[in-house]
Amino acid sequence: MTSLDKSKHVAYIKSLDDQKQFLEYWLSEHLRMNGIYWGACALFLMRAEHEFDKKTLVEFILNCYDTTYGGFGAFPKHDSHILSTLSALQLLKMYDALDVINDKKSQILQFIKGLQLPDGSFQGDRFGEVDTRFVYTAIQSLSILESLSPDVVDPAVDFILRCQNFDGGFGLVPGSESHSAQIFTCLGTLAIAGQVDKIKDREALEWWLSERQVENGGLNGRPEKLPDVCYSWWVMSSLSILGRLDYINGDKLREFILQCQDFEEGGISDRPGNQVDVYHTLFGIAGLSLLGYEDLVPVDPVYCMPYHVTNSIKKYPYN
Amino acid sequence: MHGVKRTRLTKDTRLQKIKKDAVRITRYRSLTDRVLANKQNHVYNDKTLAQTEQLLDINPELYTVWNYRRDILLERFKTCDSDAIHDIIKNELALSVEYLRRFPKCYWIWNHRKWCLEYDSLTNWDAEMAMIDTFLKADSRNYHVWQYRRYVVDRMKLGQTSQEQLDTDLQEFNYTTKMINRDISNYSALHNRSRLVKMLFENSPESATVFHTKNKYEFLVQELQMVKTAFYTDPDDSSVWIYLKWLLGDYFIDSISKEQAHQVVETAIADINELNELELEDNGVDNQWCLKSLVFLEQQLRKITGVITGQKNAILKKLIEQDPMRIKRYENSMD
Repeated sequence: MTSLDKSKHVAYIKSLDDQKQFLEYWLSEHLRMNGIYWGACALFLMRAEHEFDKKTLVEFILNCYDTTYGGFGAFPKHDSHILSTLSALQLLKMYDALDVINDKKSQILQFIKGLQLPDGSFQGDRFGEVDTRFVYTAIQSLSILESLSPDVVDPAVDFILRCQNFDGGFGLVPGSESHSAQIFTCLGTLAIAGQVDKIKDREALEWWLSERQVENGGLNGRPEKLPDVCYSWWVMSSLSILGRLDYINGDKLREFILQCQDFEEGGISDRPGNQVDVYHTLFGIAGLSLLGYEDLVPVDPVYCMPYHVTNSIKKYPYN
Repeated sequence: MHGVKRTRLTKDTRLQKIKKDAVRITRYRSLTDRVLANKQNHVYNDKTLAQTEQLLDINPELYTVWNYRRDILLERFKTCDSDAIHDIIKNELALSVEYLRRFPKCYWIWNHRKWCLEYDSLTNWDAEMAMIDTFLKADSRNYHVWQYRRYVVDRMKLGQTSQEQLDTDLQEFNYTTKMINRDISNYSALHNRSRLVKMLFENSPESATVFHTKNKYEFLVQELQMVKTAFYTDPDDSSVWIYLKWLLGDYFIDSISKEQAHQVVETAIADINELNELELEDNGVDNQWCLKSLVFLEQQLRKITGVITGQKNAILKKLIEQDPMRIKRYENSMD
């Protein structure tokens, strides 16, 4: 029976920084911070986090700090964005290095809180794009920094609740179609806020999520779409937050994820036989961890970091 | 990476690629360095604007470069009247359409387009709607395009009287009909339809013919007819079954009379049973979507009549046998 080829995946993740001879390496600068988080988190789940050099990592993160706007960019000299800011904070938290930003903490907090709009939503940066992804990333960032407060959390929760649809799912903004990844960001926000009980139509939502599993065991993101390994995370973390991990067949999902491995060079792809990447590698492994397979480190469905890391985050509401 | 076939480089092709990439990397990196250096030095002129375009043409995901481009434009807007701004934005929109043809799912490009419209007071909304239609023809489920459509409609409505706003919503409703007639499995269209129906019922005046609150029952009967045609056409398509679940869910059931509710649910149960019989004859097995929907309808029927039958558990038992992936959900639904 197929199993998770951890040593190949570890080697694959390590090899990602040796691709500088290829144009694709340079064309993905805008995702570098996120990519490093995806790789590092996968390493943590496989107990191989030491394969990244902490000192080099911290240096890179500090080089991505944007003094103009106070957040982190995805690459040195790139602008602050809430997505890369969360990845940077997750990396620092996982590698127990949050103290390196002590002198910047107030600017970072100002950057994140400054992105919140009057309706409770967050824009990704100063150019106005609003998305439930950004609400989640902002709220998780503030949670890692243990700086949540009702004046930020309550409007954010209200905004999230307005994003629920006729089918019980959640979308990108109020009115937009339900999408498994957006559902994760909405449930994740509510979970960090300690307000999962505010979800209406919970049964419809659970029903819709469990319908994401298709015949070959994989999960899709929306009805009548192809299955994709990344939904092993978006759907399963959502079901986990709802306490319904058993609403799909774990064995069949495991089989689907394992089929997406590149058995020669490591890494996991969206579907069997496709090109692997670090994003699908993490979300495949994280899905397996949620289901308790392959002797992986247990992952926290709310934060997408190991429980042994998130346990030390002071949880909101603070006493 | 989504949907890209796995390929292996042989030793030779790998060396060739490295050689070829070396030139491209040098060019790309020197351009990136130049653009980011100018950005840091706040150089806002025609030349640096053109350079951002050159770079975004290679990599439209560079959000920092989009930001720089917008800062250059903002600087330029300072000395422009609304006509001049409109002309600049027309150019930006044309550029973004070109990129979107190549990268129809790139968040940053869609976002740039929205940003542009915020600064333009002379937008040609018909042109925007035509552009959206073209993109939905190419991919009728593109999440970004539907999202953009709703944004554009909302923007359009800002300048309209309440009657005009209603007409716009009605046009949007009709558009979903058109999309559904073209392809009944278009869940994105069904989603949009559900929210438009709610909005139209909420906002329509007493005199409205279709979306008049007192007409909810009539609307429902008509809509169920459409849904029936759809599930007879493709009984395995989940989209329409999910939509049916909403039509016979609490939103409608709670706002029509008990008799009406009883009747629509009974009719739907009869229709679905009939379809399932046909499926059973043709395929030798029940249609799972029929069964799943029947479970829900039995639940609704009970809510309406207060009578408990053994039907629901019987159907759930069948589902436990035939759809083992979701056993736990079925077990939890048992009475």
